[in-house]
Amino acid sequence: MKLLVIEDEKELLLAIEKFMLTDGYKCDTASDFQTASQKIWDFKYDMIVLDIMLPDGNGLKLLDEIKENQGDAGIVIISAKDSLEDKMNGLDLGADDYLTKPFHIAELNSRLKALNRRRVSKGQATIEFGEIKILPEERKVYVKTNLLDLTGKEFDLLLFFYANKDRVLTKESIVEHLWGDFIDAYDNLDFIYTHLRNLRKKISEAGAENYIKTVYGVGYQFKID
Amino acid sequence: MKLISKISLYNLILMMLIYLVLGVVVFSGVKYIYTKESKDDLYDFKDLIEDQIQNGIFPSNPPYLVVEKLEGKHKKKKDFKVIKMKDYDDDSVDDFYELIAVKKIKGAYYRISIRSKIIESEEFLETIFKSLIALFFVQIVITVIVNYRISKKLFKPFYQILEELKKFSVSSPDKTNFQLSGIHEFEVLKESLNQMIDKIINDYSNLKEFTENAAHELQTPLSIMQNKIENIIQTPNLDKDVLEEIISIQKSISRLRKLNKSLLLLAKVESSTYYNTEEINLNEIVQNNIDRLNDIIDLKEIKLEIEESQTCITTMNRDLADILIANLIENAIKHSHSGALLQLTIHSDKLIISNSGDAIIPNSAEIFERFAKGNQSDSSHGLGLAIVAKICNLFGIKIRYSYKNSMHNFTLEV
Repeated sequence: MKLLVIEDEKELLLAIEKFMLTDGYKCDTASDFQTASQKIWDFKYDMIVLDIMLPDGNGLKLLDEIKENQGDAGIVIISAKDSLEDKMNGLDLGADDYLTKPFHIAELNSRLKALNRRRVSKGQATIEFGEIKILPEERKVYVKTNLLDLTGKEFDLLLFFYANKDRVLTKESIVEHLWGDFIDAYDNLDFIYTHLRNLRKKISEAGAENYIKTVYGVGYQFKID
Repeated sequence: MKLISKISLYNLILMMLIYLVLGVVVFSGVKYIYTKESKDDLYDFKDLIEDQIQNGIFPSNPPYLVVEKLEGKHKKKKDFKVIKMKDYDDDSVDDFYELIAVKKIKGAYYRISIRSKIIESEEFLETIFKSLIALFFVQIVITVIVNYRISKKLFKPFYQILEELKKFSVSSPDKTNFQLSGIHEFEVLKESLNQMIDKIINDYSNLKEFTENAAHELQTPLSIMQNKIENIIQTPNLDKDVLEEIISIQKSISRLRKLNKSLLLLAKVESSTYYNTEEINLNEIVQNNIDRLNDIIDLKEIKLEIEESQTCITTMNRDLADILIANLIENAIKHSHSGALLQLTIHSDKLIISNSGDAIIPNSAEIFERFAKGNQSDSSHGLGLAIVAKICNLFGIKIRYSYKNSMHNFTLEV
């Protein structure tokens, strides 16, 4: 999957690039309006991550160029401005998702994956690994042929893990994904443990192996060997 | 005390003194003239009597007029004095002027005694006192009426300025509209106030801008730090101690990030960047938040009671309404112990969010202030309720906190 990341902050760009490369994307980068515009005209991308605040131009203008040259590319806008007008404008102009800085890259990744599923398979995608089959649009999970009875949060958790498989996820990024980031620091984040325990239990009882590993003191890792 | 009352009071005190002095002056003046006139009268009368004696008439009207013929030779004299004697018709002793003159008329000596009753000082005093008092009261009435009228007219621009100042709010500064008064002092006052207000608005917006910019500029480095750390922890076989340190840093960054985000939101709400308002069904917002937080409520074994007899609809911004309700519910959950009671009561014009808890919050009046924490060791940033208060303020929603029957209650009146 070919990805273009347009972000003027070099360090952030590097961090995203590193993450995406390890996750198997082909990742291209641009740190200003000119470079970005050029790349949009010259190459073809599946996904574009666009920071709308660029030093030499408004990223929203790039949206038009993307639409013109990259008709079916999925677009995720990232912005430090938590401004609703920007969000509305961005989505109206054809962006598919909007993420406010600062964000966890795991969150960006999960959004990109979800977007890609919708874009490529038009809702018919199934995710299969090991004995597990996930139908994202129907929000159903099968282990072998058994339908798992998962709660909404458990399903979201599984999907989030899968999107960031093999990566260590901090408890915080998981909490923010599940409950939104305006949850004001709960004294401990251990309440996600209950969800995890239930999810693990349901998967293993249905006969699949335990993919969710605890990384002590840090968080969790979804590992498919 | 109103300025005009104070001025009137001083006026009256001053007038009272003036009237007192006036009374004394008038009294002595009248007394002096009266004495002089009486004396002149007695002398004139004596002259008349002398003329009559000359013409062979001897008038007599004791004790007021006594004419005696004296034997032998006497010295001529005139003697005017005040005496006390009994009047002929009553027993009281009164003051009289007495003029005794000895005069030689047609070769014989006569003593003419003329007495005239003096009007008593008390009577003068009384009359003067009464007239002055009457005058004084007339003056009070006139002063009060005139002052009232004048102050109404004269102080009109002043009260207008006061009204404008009352309406002034630094967070939503409408240009103050001071009207032309035509009075120098008020014009100076207006000018100074305008300068001051401009400066306040300017300083305030600079400060606000600074907060917003500072918070904004912090976002990116925080983003970078967080992402780098998330990349670092992917490194296989990291030393456990190192990992612990990194996670500790990560937690601090996360806290900073949330604090920063809240500060930014607060600055934004204050500058009213959110314009779009629509009809919001608060029941729905509450339900959405409960759905989102349901599992946390279950996990903490909080007993949830929702009582929605009516639909509560208000006009506000949707995202801010969501943040408002979310902050209040999350706050209630956060401060609930396991097994506590969380009550949500929705009326058509009221929304009450209550949670049980036995601790009375110290300084509950400051509960909506920034960085006010119930508990200093609390890891929350203490901005949640400040944001709640700001949002309420922005949309004219009244918010109250109370502690009753072991329940902490937050009441929203839309």
